[in-house]
Amino acid sequence: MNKTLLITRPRHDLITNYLFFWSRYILEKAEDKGFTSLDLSGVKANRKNVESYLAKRNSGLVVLNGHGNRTTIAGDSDSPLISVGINEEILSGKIVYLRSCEAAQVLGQSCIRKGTKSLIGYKEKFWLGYSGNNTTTPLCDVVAKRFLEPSNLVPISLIKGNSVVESYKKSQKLMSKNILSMMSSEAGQNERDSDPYLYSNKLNQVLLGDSDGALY
Amino acid sequence: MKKQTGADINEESSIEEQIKQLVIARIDAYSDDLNISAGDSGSLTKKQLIESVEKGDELGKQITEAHMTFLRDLASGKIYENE
Repeated sequence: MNKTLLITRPRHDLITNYLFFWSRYILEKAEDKGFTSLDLSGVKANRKNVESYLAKRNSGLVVLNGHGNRTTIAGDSDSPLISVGINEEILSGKIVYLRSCEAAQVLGQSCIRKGTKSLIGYKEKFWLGYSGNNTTTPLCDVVAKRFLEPSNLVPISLIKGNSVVESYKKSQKLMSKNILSMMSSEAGQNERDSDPYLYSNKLNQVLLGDSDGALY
Repeated sequence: MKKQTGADINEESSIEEQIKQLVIARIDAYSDDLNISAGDSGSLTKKQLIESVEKGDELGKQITEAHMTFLRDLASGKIYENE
């Protein structure tokens, strides 16, 4: 049983600020389930802290929020945290969730080759629709909620003790549910208009490595 | 393999142009309040989304791909899978 969570929450721009706030729900669930959490938020989301913590603590679940590309996921001020050929080994034996663009593609595969137990992420853009009127209150943004609730469900489901594949399927299912309800007449215009981007997230979310793994 | 003729190329580019105009029309109907973020491309307003699609840059291609996949899978019913 490994009830330890490492999460990075940079917040240096508007989008990382949305991820920062919405990740609160992950931390709340972790606390509720008796997890020890290390929350590397803001400027603390840097490579030195991540490497130092992972070297000292046997964190079962690693959640990295931030900008990324095919070979790198970044932290505060877009500084690289994990990059191909540099430090993927620090994720060895862990269940990892990369909430960033493209990082599941080359970086994700490389992490699995170098010992990461399981990894869920996005192989193309991670799109986020949001309302310009809610940028100071991200948790009240009904458009962003359609995107971020299902993406939060991956780590929340893992924290609840579900397997990696169950967590992936739950996230996929909630995205499907949102995609359909966003097409309905009850959805607001911004929700309807942002639907193709959520559908793209659903198609590009991938599970790599051991699908049966679980935290406990 | 059939050799691609000038007429085929013209038809292809015409279809591409029609797709581009369809996506632009869809985005043009957005409210000014909707923003889309595409990771390190930053926060994109309706105007910026349209500019990318018009230019056909990497981001514009990804926006077009998202819209066309959505429409194609809506028409085929694939979008209702996993529900």
